[in-house]
Amino acid sequence: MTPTGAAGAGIALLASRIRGEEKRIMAAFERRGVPASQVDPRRLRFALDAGGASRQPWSVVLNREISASRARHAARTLESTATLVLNSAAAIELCCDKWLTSLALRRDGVPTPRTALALTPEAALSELDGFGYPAVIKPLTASWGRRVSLVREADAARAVLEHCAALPSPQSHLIYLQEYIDKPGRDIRVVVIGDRPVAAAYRIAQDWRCNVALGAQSRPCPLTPDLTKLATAAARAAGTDFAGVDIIEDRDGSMLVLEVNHNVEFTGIQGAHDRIDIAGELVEHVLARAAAAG
Amino acid sequence: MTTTCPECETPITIEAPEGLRLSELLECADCRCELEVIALEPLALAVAPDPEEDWGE
Repeated sequence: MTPTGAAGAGIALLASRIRGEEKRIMAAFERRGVPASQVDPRRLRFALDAGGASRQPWSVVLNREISASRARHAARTLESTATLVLNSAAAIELCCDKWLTSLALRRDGVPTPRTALALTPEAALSELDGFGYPAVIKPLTASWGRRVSLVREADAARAVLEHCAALPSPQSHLIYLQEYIDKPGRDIRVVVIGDRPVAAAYRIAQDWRCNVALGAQSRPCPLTPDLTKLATAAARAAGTDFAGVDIIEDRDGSMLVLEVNHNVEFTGIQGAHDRIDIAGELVEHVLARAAAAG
Repeated sequence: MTTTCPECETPITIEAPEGLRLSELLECADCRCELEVIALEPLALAVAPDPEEDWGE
């Protein structure tokens, strides 16, 4: 299989949008004297060779593509040719689906808020009768807190679910329900690289959602032993090489994992930590994985 | 280096053009349009496409 639209060799950064994170990563490669190609997946295509022979221009691909479909299919295809892809296709597929993430967290005993999946909006409304209010209705796949709804009673839930039912994608009709946690105006983002949390930040918000994209402010958060253990367990359950683990605190101080992000944006958390080079840590991990893979 | 916003035609000054990368995202200070670097020499900007799907961040 030969990809077309690629240039360079060795290590590639796969990304169609070069944000601050990707610029920092490329700069970290350059500071180490490691050549890395910037590859735009919008120009990539793959052809199956008749004889099954495969030839790859890269041995390692750092997958920072924001389109879930492109990221997943590029990873699957490249992995089929023995290219090391970080994060792996399996990790991307799991992290892109909140329910699959919940199943993996539950399997590994990682604490989460009470969660349910309903396969239709109607079933979700029935489930909420027993689940109780307030509750949070989420799409299985969503970014930046979009279409995440806090519902405090059945009439509001019915309205949200009617909108879900009207959406054209069948996946939008799968409803992920989660217990609303009365958190102290913040959540915690932990960046985990390999098996090691490298930085954590409180995301402080006026909104009940604490996404930086919605205006939350990042402040340094100490990596306590409990936080380290929890974030590590979540990343391990998801099988990621690098992840942003979102953690919420209950009023009694217990911590619960909300989700694991495979394409972690770390500009906010980097801004809260001037002594930690997150991109540099990521590049060191990529180089170590590449060396281990031979 | 100066170019113009392809959306509102406001002049955009790039302070450090040597640090620009293909596919990098910029924002027009006037219309707030998100722009993508589509060529470096000569510099060319286009309105950045919206992310086509959510990816779970």
